[in-house]
Amino acid sequence: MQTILLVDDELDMLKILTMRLTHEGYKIEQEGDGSKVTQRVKDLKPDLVIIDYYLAGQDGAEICKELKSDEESKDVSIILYTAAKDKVEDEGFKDIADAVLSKPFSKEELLSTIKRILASKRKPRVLLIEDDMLIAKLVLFKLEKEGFDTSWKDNGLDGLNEAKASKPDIVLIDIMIPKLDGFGVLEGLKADPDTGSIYTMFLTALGNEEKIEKAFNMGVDDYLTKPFLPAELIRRINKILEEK
Amino acid sequence: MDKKDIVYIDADIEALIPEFLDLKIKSFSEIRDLLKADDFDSIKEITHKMIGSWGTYGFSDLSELAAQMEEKIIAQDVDTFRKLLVEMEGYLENVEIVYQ
Repeated sequence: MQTILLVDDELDMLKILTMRLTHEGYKIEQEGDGSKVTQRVKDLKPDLVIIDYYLAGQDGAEICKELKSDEESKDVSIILYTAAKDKVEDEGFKDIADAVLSKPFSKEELLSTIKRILASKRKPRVLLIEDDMLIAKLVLFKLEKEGFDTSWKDNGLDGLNEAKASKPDIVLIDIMIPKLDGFGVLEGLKADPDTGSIYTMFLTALGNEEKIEKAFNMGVDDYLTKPFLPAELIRRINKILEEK
Repeated sequence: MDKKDIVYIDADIEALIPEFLDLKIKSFSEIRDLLKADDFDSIKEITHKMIGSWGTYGFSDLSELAAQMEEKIIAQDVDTFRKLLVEMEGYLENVEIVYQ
């Protein structure tokens, strides 16, 4: 669940935003004291801060600058809201916030802004279905180093269930895996409208090339033959995600 | 003094190599047990995985050796398979790993 820290000194505003965003499935934390925001962000590590530009005795812009200049908090996404959007934009908000909303704003406007920002900051998620623990360990290590969110299942059945539950951006599938082979996983993904458009890549040992044609006919997006260079795997994943 | 083989491995994964080699070396005794039991299917499975894992970690010579071992076990040429297994062990005893 994604966490949002709401910062406003008006209790009513905190209440209404909390109600709306909780209903949308976000975990909401509140802060009414601008002087505590930086520390709250460091402690909570929220995905997003939504902050009023004008806080009593505080300047929301200064708080944003403080967040962006601190190593521990500089990567947090920020939405500023204000009744004076033009003024804020003139002052160059882009260095201190990811978006500015003009008060009053609609629920739809708020939600679409939140979704857009969180989607742009989200790490691509890769699910690896591979029964060779040593290969998995190396691939996960390299992917995480490159900034991907990863998950791993060591058999096809668990892998298919995980893909349906978490809907990753791309699924890497070994062909020869227990319980359900790579083709079974691919078939299961393609048959379900919720997972049919997830990008898929087969990882296959030398000698299985003849199976690749079958895989392409079933809709796989790419394949890589083992042994492979991890750097090549990452290049292919990035290429697929860029095309997406 | 014997001249050592040198293998160049991605420095990024240096921390993963000791456990990787440890598990691979342990698999040799498992293979010998399976040979005693004439369980060629299980040996084929292990050598097949070796092709991918040795190569992906950067040990391309051993990946090729594993491919030869897989061929030999499929042909049930146990004598040659044993020689290749000894060759693989000897390579590991003699190799110098350079991380770059």
